[in-house]
Amino acid sequence: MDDKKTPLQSVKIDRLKIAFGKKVVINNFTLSMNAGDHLALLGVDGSGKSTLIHTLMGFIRPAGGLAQIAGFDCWKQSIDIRRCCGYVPAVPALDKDLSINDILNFSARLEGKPTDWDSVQSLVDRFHLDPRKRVASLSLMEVKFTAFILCFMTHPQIVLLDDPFLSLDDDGTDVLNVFLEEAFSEGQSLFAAISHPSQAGRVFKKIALLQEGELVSIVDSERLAGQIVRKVEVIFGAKPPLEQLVKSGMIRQLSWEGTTLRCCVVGPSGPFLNAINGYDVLDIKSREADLEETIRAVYLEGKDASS
Amino acid sequence: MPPLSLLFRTWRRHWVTLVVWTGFCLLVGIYNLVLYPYLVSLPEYSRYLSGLPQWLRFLEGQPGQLDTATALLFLSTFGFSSPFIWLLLILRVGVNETAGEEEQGSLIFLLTHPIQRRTLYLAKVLAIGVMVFLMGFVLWASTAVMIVIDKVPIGLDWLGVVVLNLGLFVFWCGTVAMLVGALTGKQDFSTLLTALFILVVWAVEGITRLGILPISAHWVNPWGLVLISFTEKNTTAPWWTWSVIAGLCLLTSASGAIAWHRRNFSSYRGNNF
Repeated sequence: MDDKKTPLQSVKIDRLKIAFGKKVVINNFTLSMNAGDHLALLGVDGSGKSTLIHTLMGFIRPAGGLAQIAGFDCWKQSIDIRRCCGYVPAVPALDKDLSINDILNFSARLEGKPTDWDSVQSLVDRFHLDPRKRVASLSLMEVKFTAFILCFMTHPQIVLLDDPFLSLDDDGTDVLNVFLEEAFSEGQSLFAAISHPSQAGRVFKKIALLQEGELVSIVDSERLAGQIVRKVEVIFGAKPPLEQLVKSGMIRQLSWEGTTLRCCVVGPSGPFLNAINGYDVLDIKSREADLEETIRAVYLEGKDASS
Repeated sequence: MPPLSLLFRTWRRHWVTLVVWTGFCLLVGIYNLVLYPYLVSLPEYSRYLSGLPQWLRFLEGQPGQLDTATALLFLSTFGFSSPFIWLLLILRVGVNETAGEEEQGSLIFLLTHPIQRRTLYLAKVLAIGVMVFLMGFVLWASTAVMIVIDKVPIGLDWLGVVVLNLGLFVFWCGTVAMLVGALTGKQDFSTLLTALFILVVWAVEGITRLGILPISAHWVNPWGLVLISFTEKNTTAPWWTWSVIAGLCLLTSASGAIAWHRRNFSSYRGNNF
């Protein structure tokens, strides 16, 4: 495999297990991606997103199961993986004493094949970088963009991004979104770890939800972005019957502490407020559910609703 | 064979080490050639030395043992301190090239390229080997200048063999540092552990007087804190000891490469944050 333009098969992960000592980080994870797919992996910090991407890049040896990219085993054939994949870490750490030009040249030499310097220059221009600047003097966003250039200068067929929007401001996010949209219209596959549904943008149509090292579900990104979930706490004068509300699926993750109800309200809050209107409500508190609570309420209901 | 650019990268990361070492050798040379003759000519200095407690005189200057009153044995002081500093510098470089790279996150940047981990490791070993050789040359040159100017009866070729032998030992310490760094991934811990290990080796060598390592063979006698007199023992370590140290270098380098090949690079901190 000499060229990153060679046609590739899908990403294939089957019953993958990753453990550090006794701690299991990823367990029984199964996922497949066809060539040209754009899939985002969404989960809270510590859910195993970066670990999974590191495993795909061959940095980590799986404790069990299968992880393949383009038919290559991610651990045993990691050199072939790196020939066909590009990778942008969440926090790129580049040699501080080098200029962007030096780093690009160094990287090209390690790749060991001719580099299309015209396309590299167009990437530098696109990200508004000054190639003569040393890494030590770059902003976090410029370092991240440099890492993107390093990733894309070899025209990889599969790109793995670890929290690509981390350390980007709003303008940077827009620049990157437009870039990714164009870059991936050419049939490149994209697998990215993101930490908020809104980061899926227009590039990722599907989102894989990861929680505590397990794949919860693969959902449509627009559906997840439109999901409204609120965490609600209601103090009643007396405990009311709410069976109808539970059956309707409007409230999830329900728990009682005396006459205090804690639950997640899925969808608009109006119907819920109407439903409790006739009861003795002493106080009510409400806030937007965070990502983990949303995943639990919407996608884990029935699996661990009691938790 | 690793790409030359990888070797250059290691040298670029540690050019300060080379500068510090050259500066140290220059300073000692200048002290020896310029300040020292003036210092020993002062009667106050002799009175100061004789007024010291016995144990301190033993360290700082006592005729016949570590006599700072002659140029020859002042060189002993230089010879005594330089291996320690050389060792410490290379130890830090070795740990930084494995555990340091992992902690800083810059290793991930290297690992995204289609290069075997063992090739990366070999490049670092080779780069450190060349650094040790360069530092050895600086040590030899600065000592040689002092020998020539002070008219000390030591052959420069013999001095070269001594420095090469000591350099081989320092290189082995560097490979040990790399190995420990590759195993633990923690820079400060690895530095401490390697330093302790080398101290233990030093002590065992000193107690048993095996004569395998150049530190006790002809450079520094750790128990007498005296460089064995150049004039009395103008000999070098037996050739078989070179083979032992070279074998140790190969063994630790291979072990480090295997450790790195099997290691999970799971977490890192970016140096830009």
